[in-house]
Amino acid sequence: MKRLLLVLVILIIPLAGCWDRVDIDMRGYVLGIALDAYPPNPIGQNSSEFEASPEEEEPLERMETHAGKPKYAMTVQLPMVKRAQNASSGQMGGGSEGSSTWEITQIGSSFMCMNREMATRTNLLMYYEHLQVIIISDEIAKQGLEKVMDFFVRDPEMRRRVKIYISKGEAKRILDVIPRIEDYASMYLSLLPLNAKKTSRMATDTDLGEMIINIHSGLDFVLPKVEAIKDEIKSSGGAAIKNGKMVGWLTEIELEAVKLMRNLYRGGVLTIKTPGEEEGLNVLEITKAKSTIKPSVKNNVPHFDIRIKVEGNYAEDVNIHTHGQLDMEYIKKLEKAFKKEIETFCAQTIKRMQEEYGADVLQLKKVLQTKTPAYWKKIADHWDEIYPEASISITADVTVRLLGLET
Amino acid sequence: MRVERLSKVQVMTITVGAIFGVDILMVQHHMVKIARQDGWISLAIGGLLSIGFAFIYYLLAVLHPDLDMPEIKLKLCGPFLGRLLLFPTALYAVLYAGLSARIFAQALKMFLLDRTPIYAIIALMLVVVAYSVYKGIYVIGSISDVIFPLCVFTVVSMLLLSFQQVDLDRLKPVLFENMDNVIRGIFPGFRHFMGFGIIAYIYCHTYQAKGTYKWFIAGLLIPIAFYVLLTVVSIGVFSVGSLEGLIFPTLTLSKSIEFPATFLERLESFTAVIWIALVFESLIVFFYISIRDFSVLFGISRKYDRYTIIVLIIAAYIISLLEPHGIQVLNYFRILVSTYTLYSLIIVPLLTGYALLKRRRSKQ
Amino acid sequence: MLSLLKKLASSKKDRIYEGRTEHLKQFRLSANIGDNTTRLLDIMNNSFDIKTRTFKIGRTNTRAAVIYISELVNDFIINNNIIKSLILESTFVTDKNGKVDLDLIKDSMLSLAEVKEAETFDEIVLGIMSGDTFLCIQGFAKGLLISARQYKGRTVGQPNLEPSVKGPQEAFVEMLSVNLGLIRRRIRDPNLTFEIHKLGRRTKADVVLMYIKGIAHKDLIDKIREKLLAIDIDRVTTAVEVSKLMIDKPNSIFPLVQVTERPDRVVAAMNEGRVAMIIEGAPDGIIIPVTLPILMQSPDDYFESWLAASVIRITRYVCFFISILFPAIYISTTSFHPGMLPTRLVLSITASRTGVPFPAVLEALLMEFTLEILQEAGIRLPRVVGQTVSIVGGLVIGQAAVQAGVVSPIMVIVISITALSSFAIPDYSLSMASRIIRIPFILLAVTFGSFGIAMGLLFLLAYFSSLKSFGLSYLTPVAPFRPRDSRDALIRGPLWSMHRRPEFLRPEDTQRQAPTGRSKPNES
Repeated sequence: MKRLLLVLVILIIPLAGCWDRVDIDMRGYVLGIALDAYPPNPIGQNSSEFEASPEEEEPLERMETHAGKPKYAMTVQLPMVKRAQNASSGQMGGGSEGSSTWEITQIGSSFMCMNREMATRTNLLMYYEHLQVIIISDEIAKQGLEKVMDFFVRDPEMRRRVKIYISKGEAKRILDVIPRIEDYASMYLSLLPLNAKKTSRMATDTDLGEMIINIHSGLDFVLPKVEAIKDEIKSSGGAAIKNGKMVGWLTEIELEAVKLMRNLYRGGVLTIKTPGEEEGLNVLEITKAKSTIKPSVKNNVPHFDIRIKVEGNYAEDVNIHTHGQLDMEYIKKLEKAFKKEIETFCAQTIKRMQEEYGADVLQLKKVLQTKTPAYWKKIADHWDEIYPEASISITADVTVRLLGLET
Repeated sequence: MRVERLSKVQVMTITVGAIFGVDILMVQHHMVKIARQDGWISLAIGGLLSIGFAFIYYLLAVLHPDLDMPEIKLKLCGPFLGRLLLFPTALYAVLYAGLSARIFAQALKMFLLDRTPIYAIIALMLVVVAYSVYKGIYVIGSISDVIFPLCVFTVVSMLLLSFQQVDLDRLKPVLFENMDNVIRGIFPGFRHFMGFGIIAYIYCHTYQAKGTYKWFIAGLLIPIAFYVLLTVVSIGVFSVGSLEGLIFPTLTLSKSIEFPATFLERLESFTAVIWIALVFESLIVFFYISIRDFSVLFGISRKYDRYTIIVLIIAAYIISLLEPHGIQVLNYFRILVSTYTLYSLIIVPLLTGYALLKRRRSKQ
Repeated sequence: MLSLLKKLASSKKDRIYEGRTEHLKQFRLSANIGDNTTRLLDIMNNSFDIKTRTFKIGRTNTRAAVIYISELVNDFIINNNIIKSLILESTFVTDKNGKVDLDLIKDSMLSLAEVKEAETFDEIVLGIMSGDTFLCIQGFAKGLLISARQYKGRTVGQPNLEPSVKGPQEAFVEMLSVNLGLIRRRIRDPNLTFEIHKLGRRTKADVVLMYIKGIAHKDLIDKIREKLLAIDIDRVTTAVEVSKLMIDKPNSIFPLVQVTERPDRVVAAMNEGRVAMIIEGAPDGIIIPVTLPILMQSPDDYFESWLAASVIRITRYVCFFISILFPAIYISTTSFHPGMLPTRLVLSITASRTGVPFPAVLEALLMEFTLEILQEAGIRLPRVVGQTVSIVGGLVIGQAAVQAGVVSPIMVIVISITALSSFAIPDYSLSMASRIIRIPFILLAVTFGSFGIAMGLLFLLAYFSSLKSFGLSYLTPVAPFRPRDSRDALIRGPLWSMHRRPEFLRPEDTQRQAPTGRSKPNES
């Protein structure tokens, strides 16, 4: 018995071949993906980068497609590991200006197909487990995200913690940027959201998994906006997504408001004009913000009571002299001013969302579903019409805890 | 020299091992499909019911301290009827082992081994299973003693780590106009815990000390708690809408945990080994059951166990490779377990009642 | 005499010159010392180191002879206490009738502790071979075996294989008597029992079974004795060799007995209810039975705070697994699932591997093989040139291979950590076993990735669970799990909590320490 088993095991191992074995240096680690629409060529895009090499050679033969005309252009970013490593360790000396990544663009109608077509152009095996970001151009986002995301959810190599960005303009341009302190733009973008602790103007919790959950649950949401110039990337503000389609941009302050109301606030600063003074500014560093949304129904119209509780430390004053004056009375005054400011910009944001975009970025739908299921059942089919009519009241409550080292 | 017996702890660990199977990868998916966000309630009710049912099994085993299940059946119902009753169980165990090996191989193929053929994955697994089963019930006990703490540690740490992503709002509304579905979900929930039947096979090998049933119930409660928690956490992380579309939510869950910028960035490398161990353990337990059943069914003496094992392993291997469609295997598996659950829901209480009756009569 | 010899030579079956000496039992001494000495010398093939001295006793005419092996005896004692007193003193050698009396000589004359009578040749030959001095006197069909042994050997030194930081620094030597002394000195208990057996058809080595009666379970002792007596072999030199003949699964690569050179370890083991065995001529003691957790213990564990010792012990277990698995894990994560590593690590490994011509497996096997060569060479080389190995190994294999681009630096790190971990395993045989099973794990990893490793581990688990050392499961007390005994398994519990001897050894006396202090008093 034992011998038989042993023979079996020994037989299996060489029989097995090594189906899945690919040495680590034989894989192409896709760090970032940019999705653009095609045609027309995205804004600011000459055809040179897409199909032909800069020396005006004949373009590579286009991919044949089984079904449909090519609708998308997918760019993947592959690290050129050896070059990056040598540049960083300084063994090669010069040539540090060159890019350490290779961006390959492929056009086609399905992403799996494009992915495999790339295998005809690289000697490496495309590997997506280390994908850091997916950048989607606003044009595709406006056509609908759900249409393009299936490959990224179905494929087991994809991770649900991949960051999603919506680019203003062409998405590929973002990947082309060489950040000064990082070799790869994708890595840069994946670490950028960690700064959301310091600033509130950057969207958080917007990875692939979160986005898919929102899409599957039929919720509207916000994705971060990203822009780039030659060697700099900036992510701030966001894109409002309604029914899986982008409907418009959110400004930085609007994003801040959404984060405050959706309980996603991680930290940031709030600046107000000093009450009663012309030039002065007061700055509050918000350390803790918590919001609760209470729904109620009056005359078949939903009403939402949003309460935002904000705690923070007094951080700075500009153009005024408060030295030694920060007593309780003054702080109370400040708190009131902060509160008013929060209520104002939140209300403005909601108004724009309701009237202009009709996007339920606060996910009030979910509040109704979970808290007043009976009412939700009645209006489930008409939510899109009811949402702009819903009345929303905002109450903020600000506490200034610490004053720094001065009063 | 030393009379070997299973300890009370082993009663618990083997029971846990028998219940946890390939189900742990997809229990949430099933439950959510039936009862949506209240799936965990159905599961909990089903679990509690299974405790009551487990007692019937336990009673049957206690009434026959020297016999295991197939022998009990033969003794109570005579050689012909007994064998008739035994046959479905024997068949079930092999089918279950074959199908769950296949399902697990599919899951592995998706998450770990992209291009390795399924037949090779199953073959390697079954060879090791055959070796372990051949070593007998006491070795199975030892194996489960080692796997148990590892699995508890992993499942608990996975639940804790994913807790920060849980949005409890996704569980709401609780029980809103959903009672029908919850009730419909009780039987499928119950079905996940059928592995407790192992007690009737191992009780005769234990010390039969007084508190054994406590450990047995503990062995049942741990999977119930884990399954319910796993369902709650999965709903909280993925939301009902997403969960309905995930075939192996537990694997996806372990794949979505990521700590920023630490070495343990990706937890699934660690958890994958534990899933393998868990499924492996349930496979050995089910093979043990089928070997005992078939041996008694055909009156094969224990000396020839090794040949029975080889035949059964090959049978399970063929079963696992019969159906080409991946999704169909899942359906077969569900149908198989449901059918057998119904069968034993009818048979085992009858057997126990008859055994009690017989005992009372013989006392008079 | 000649006829006797002829008779002996002619009977083919019982040739006196054959290796087996059991048949010598049927031959008895004759009353003629000339015959006796010649026959003895013949049996022993007239080897030159066998010394015979014939003389006359006292002032009588009775002739006597002593036969001994000069290298094994104390010359001074033979000259002074035997020959000199027999020749010079006449008072105690004759009885009232003036005849030489053997009993009188034995009782009143020989001022030596161990004197016994012998009549058959097997007894006498074995005695002489063991270093006894044989005295025979004309007219008596029996002689005296006088023990004046003096074996030459090294003195008690420090343990080489199992060094420890604190605690006793004595190790067994090749002399049985010294070793027994080392143990007796540590247990002043009349129940400490030494059972002597002779083993080996030709070597006739003294094998001593040691146990404490009343602690070690009777069944265990009986079983070991039975196995020991069943051995029929021409030659044994070490106790390990003997134990290899006794274990149930001789094919196991994992040690099923514990080999130690530390008397304090033997003493501790006997106090737990285990049985030890040592043999004349070898500095190794064997402790039976053994389990994997016991093999992972080190004497130092008990000299430190229990928390510190537990941490160290857990580290050791981790090392055991690293030693078995690390190359396999490296291959499976890099070649199969690079997604499991952090992105930056993947990129740096990739960078370090660019230009290496071999796949990772081959690289690993190559380095593994090199490591084995280094280890083997390190043991074989004389101390004087031993340094060369480390220079050649460290510089040439490590640095040069990396610079030449044959292996990647990360692989050198992997293999070095693996090697270091295998040295951290306290038991040498276990560390050897871990080196061997590393290779199958590499093969599994290269075909099935982490799934292969997991299946390998499960196979190992099943194998360990089925392995038995003299009826004791190899993984006890971890599996089957014994809560009380596990205080001294994966961790080293505080001493007050271990007031009972390990239950799994089924000691007859369970109490080790009064259940005082912080333990529950009602646990009796």
